[in-house]
Amino acid sequence: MRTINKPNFVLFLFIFISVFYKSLAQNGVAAIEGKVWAYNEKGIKVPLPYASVYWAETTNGTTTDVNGNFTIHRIPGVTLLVASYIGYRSDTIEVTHPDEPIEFTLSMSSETLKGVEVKSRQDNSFVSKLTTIKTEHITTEGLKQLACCNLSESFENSITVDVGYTDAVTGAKQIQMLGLAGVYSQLMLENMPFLRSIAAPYGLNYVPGPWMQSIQVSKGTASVVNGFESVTGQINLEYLKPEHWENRAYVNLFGSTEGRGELNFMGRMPVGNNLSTLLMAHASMQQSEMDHDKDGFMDLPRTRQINLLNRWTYEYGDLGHSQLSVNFVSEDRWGGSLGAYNMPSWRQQGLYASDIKNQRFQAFLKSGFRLDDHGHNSVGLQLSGTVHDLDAFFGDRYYSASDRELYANLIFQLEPGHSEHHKISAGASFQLEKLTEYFYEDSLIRNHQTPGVFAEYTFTPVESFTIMAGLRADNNSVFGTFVTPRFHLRWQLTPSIVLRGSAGKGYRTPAMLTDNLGFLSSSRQIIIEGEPGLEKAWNYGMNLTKTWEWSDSRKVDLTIDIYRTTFDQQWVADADVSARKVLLYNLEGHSRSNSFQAEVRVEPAKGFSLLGAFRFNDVKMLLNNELRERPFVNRYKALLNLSRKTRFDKWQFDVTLLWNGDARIPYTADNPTEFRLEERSPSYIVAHAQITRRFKHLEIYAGSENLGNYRQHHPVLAANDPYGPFFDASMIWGPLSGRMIYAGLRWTLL
Amino acid sequence: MKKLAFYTWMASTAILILSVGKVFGANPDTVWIRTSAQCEMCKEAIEKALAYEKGVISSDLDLKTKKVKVVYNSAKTSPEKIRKAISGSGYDADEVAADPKAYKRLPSCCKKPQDR
Repeated sequence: MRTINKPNFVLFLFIFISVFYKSLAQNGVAAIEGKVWAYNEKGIKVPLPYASVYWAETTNGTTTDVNGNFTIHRIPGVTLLVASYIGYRSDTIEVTHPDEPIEFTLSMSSETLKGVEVKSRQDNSFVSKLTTIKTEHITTEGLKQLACCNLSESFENSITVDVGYTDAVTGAKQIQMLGLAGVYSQLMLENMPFLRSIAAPYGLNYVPGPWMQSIQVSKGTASVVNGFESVTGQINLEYLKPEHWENRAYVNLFGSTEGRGELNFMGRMPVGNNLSTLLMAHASMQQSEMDHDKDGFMDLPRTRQINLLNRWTYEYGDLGHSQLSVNFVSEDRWGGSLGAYNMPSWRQQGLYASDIKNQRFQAFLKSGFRLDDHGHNSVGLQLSGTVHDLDAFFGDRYYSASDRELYANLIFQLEPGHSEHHKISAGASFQLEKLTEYFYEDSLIRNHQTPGVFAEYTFTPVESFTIMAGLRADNNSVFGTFVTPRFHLRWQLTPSIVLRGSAGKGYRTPAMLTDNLGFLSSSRQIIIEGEPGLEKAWNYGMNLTKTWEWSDSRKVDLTIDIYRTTFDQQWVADADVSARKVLLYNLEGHSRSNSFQAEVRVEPAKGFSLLGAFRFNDVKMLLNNELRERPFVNRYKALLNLSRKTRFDKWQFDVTLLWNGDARIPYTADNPTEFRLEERSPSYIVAHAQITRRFKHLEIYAGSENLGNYRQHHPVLAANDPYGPFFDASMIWGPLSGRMIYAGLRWTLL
Repeated sequence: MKKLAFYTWMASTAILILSVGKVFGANPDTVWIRTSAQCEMCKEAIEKALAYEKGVISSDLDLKTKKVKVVYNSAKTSPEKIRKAISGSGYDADEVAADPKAYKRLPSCCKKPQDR
């Protein structure tokens, strides 16, 4: 007797989707649809955008869209279809069943990789429909829409990541994802943990805009391959690479009316046949003291930064490659009272100043090798080391911290049976962290070793359905063993609708004070209760992407996201007990964030794009037995971005409007009346605009940030008495500097 | 009032910058150049390269004949210079062969059939 004992869901889906595909394809035999895939440098199969697809021996061809999809009209008598992309081996397929989608899979050819030039049109940012985890890509083109001096300014055209000041003195910018501090989203440089622990408060400034090739932002739980740390999401940065960068030299100059000047230089050198190197240098300075609201405090600190990076790539023919990078950053930021900088006796004069010195050295070595001819199986090793020292004073408070980190990660990627249905990533990692923090009598000395193992299985029964399950176990020398389960699901309901879901756990070992350094710019008594424990959180999310496409240059993308994060344990700063205190402790009570976001991207015609986005955040935590909104989190936010490019991209115009809803301000009712604040901040709009003109080797851009000149007035409480009990520069919800006009140029030597 | 003045200033600056960008074309001449363009991508690439050449007013490549029609200002450029620019972007231009370095960088669909 035959029994069907497992009427499984996946099988049902398979049948459903294949029937759907059939009915769709039969209508259009005149055109052939398909997709081009490629194995990237890590041996992972990814869709290949902008690849050429053409009929052999003809000039009839097309290119794939951002998702690697293509549609090509048939030519009678020609059956050989070719897919090619620079840096990859071309592939030819004989089309025998025109009603079936054609799939190409290209692999890299290392010989042709050097000096490639990809000059195809790129969207400023896009959301890939094919990855299992929903990922928002910010491309070089997108970064150029902004003054974009560094990473902290790269998210101005995105609503997924918020950027705000932590205090009115140091000018430090913090990011937020899903309404939670940036430290809960894992920041990575080329898939390795980056700017962790004490580098978090100022680290975003250590990533110059022109160094970046792209940024990938994904909300929700991440892959277990990169560690246990991501809670709300992941931000991965890709720097320019010597083997891919097409130019010989590049110079960028930038200047603004707020007195900021920047210089970026990049130079590439082929050293041997298989060896190439890229030198990147950045110097920036802001030395003018502006005080728009006449409170005696500079709006933004005086800063000086030197940042040098040198990276090398060695290619072992077709087998794989190794990358080595060394980076040194030195930064000094001086903020506070006007004139204190040039006055040795500023303290005796009753003036206020803060000075933060950061020195950081980071190096990494990455190697990846193919284990077979087709790149189905591969192995990768990531090694990274960091030395970071921070020395600071805020008025009469001193804080110093130092951090030494080592990180190693060995990853195997396997495709059992060489089929695309099963993929396994597995490996082991090791993390060493030596952290010391000194603040008055409080100190944290942490010496952690965390070895871990992980495995992730990706099952793709049909192209339109993927499920990914990952598990890792880490053993921390202080916090013991903990397990990180994570799940992802992607279901392409129709060719234009993709549904994704994710759920997973994340952990973090917070530093004592670094996440809340803003409070040091105040007279608040800082009370540290115990040592920070292991933060634990769950994140669940779903998102839907729908595309309407009429042609290559006319389309509409709609994305809807819902995410929820709940903490089991969290290291929090509670400023609601009193306006003159801040408590830091392990919160075991309820703490959660719910976030909803909708985004529409419209390309009504070639060279014209429009982005509208709306977000709602509901972030609450249990403070003193009362569930309260997390301070300084905008409940609502909306963004409108318009971009227009003329033919051949000679001119480009960008305008962004950002509406920030109200946010809760911590309790200040125990202050004297003149130092009390409203319970909620007002909502406000900021606008940015930029014009770019491109010449053969030169680009000139000019623009304005905060066009409407909106500022938070009197951001410093009791500014006239910085050593008195009511001084507080940490209650920041809005822009601190007014309208900034800037101009810059980018010069490229081919 | 101050704001209004500022916006007016911004707008007029923008208009000024825009109008400077216009080509004040005198003596437009036309030349037809045979290229080694293969596909739509090559057409795009050649036309874009020419758009950034000094003195070129417009260009249009016909993929059937592989010939590009270039309208240019004879006071600023010459057919020789235009051919050199096409060669510099990796394509043959009449008797001027493609610059080998630039040719190597072309996407493979733009390479000559024998090199693919």
